[in-house]
Amino acid sequence: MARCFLLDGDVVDQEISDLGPVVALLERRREELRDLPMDDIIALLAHLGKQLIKDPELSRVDGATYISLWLRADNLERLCDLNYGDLHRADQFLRVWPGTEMRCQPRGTSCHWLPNNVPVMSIFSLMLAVLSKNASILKVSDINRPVLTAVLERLKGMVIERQGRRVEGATIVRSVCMISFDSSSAADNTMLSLAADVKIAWGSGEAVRAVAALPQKETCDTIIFGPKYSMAVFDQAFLSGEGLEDVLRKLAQDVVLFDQTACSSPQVVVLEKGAVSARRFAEALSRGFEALPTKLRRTQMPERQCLEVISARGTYLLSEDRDIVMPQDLGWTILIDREEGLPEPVQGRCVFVREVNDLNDVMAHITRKVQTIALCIRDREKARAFADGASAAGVDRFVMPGEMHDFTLPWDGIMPLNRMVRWVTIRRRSEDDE
Amino acid sequence: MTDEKGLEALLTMPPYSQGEQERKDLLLPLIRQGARKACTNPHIRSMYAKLGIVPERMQELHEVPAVPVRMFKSFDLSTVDRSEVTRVLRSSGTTAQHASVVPLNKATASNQTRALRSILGAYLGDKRRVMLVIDHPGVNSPSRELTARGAGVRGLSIYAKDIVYLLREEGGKLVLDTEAVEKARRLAEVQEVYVFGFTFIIWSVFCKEMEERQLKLDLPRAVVFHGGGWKKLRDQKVSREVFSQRLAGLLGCPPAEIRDFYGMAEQTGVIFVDCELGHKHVPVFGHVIIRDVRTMEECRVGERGLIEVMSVLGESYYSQAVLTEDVGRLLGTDDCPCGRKGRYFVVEGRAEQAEVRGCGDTFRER
Repeated sequence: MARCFLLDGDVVDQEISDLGPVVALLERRREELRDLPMDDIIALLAHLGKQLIKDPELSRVDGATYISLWLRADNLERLCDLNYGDLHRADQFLRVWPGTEMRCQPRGTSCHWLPNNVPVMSIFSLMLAVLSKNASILKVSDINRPVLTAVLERLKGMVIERQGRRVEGATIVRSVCMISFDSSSAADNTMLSLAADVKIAWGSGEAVRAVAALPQKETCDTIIFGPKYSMAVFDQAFLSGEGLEDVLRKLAQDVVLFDQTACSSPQVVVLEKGAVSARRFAEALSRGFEALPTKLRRTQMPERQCLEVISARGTYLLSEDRDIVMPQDLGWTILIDREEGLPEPVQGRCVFVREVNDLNDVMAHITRKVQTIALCIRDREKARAFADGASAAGVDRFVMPGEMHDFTLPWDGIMPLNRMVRWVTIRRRSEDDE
Repeated sequence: MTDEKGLEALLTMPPYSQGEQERKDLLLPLIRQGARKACTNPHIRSMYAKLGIVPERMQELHEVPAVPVRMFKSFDLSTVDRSEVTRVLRSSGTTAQHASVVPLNKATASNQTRALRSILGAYLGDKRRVMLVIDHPGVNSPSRELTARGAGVRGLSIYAKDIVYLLREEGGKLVLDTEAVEKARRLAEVQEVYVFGFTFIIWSVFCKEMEERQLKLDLPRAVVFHGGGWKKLRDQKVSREVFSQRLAGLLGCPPAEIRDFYGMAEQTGVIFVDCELGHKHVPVFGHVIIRDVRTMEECRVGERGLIEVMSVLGESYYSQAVLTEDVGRLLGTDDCPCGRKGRYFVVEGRAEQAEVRGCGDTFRER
């Protein structure tokens, strides 16, 4: 049996066996959201972002600063422009070329199977629904529900003035419903899936495959943010250039955030041989880990994950042909070996370092599973050529260390806002165009 | 070369007679020597070198590098020539795909036997007794390779002047051997007995079938040792109290004499038996450190952490420090009301198993 925790703007706690009435209510509420101009929605969300960082409770949430930055009006406008061509296409028909106008319409009810490993991604998932003017049913867990509830409660109380009009955050919140149920419940999963006009599934391979396989409306689209793998590459010129220590501090931060369970977490660093040995690189990276603020330097990862790290450490300590750099605690671990290919992740702040003769040797091992590469190649043309080949093999993003977890769009090779709307055209004789 | 005098002293003194500091003083030189010898193994040598630790310079027991117990499944951790290995102990554990491999030479096997005799003697006294095994005879077959269950039976049989197996195998399943139960009843009328079995087998086979057949024994002076983990019983919400009451009722012995013990194939010989208060005590030839799972620092009394077991018994493999995947809490040192000296602790079971791999879970294509 599912439980509902947010309905029509109110925090509740009630059993729910039929989403029909909820969907009917959300349908009315999303009409109110649809009537809000994008400029008003963005202004509300930007205001929320500013408030989040001032809120003593919410500012403690992992990633609160980043959410706040992400909600900046200029960032949201950029994302909407990128996805819609012009953000106002979510409000009205706009001319595309002579004789053709286009706009987008929300798909309807978006249903979200949210990630547990990175609670802030739940907020991004919700924001995608809001920026596409869809109603939302969020399948929450004990991990992400407190954060989402707190954010939505702040938004509910928010009122801003825009051009003499009152714009209320409650309009957005009323279009959101939060429910929870046992993930293994086929009946509840099916109920949620059948309510969806667009499904968004985050999580492990097993989780997203299960969601993708659920029955759904013929008109429903499914967006999968499934299991991915990320890494960093360094060429000789970058390794021998200036500023490496600073870059490695940022890379260390990318490793420890979310205890390396995110799809954007670097699991391996591949070095081009010649400039710096793997051992020296690992020692430099270890200084980056040690320079992290205390809150990031320490881990609270689950016992099970700690055992995996302890086991990996044991293996690398006992193997004569492998090396390891680590502190006594499990705050970080660097595993060095001479094996080919990309290693299976250990996670838990455990990063591999491998050397190759030529960075292009990595290309043979890249698959669609690789999401992000921190691209540390000094020469711009060489970097672009590498990105060209690696993206053809499957990689979705190339960033610098320190930016691996930035929730930029496209994500996983997808323009999610674009997918969460229906595209509508009006065509007429071009000579009728004014 | 092992300090034979030191080890001999430990194996001949009462196992709970030494205070914390005296015990550490006795153990550390032996652990150092054992670690130095263990460095003849290339894997152990690699570990010490990478950690920058020189065995002779270790000043405290907590400085001794611990091998994660899983490593016994993937590395040969023997410290003697293969020709010296007389028996290989295998343990598959409860969830593992591969078995731990623990090579034993004559000296190690002898140390382990003497250690077990010393521990059991503290509970059973000097006299040998009839041993009732709640398992089937095949578990102790005389092959070179021994399972953990077989090793347990064999290890605890050192006080036995006669062994009666109360179960038998029938079509691949364990069932109660009623004739053996009858034999046990007759023997117990004239001789003292002790009982040994694995916790889950006792619960799921022995107790169940004894009750179904409305059988009971009358063993008022029996001591019952059981081990092998609580995971399955905990899953069935069976508490220690319920287990002890049910078994004591069927055997006709006091519930306080139903003694759970903690031990593992990788540290055979060093078992931690419940005292009358349900506290597990550390014998003189071993040591237990509870380590914080995230900082690896030694926990303070009462704090939850991973259980590390140290032992001076192993000559043929790295037994100096083994980090288990079980969690427990240190309850105190030298001050258990039962009067036994040394450390005492509780085991809380396996570390939490919840899988949190998230969206960055794998590279393999599935």
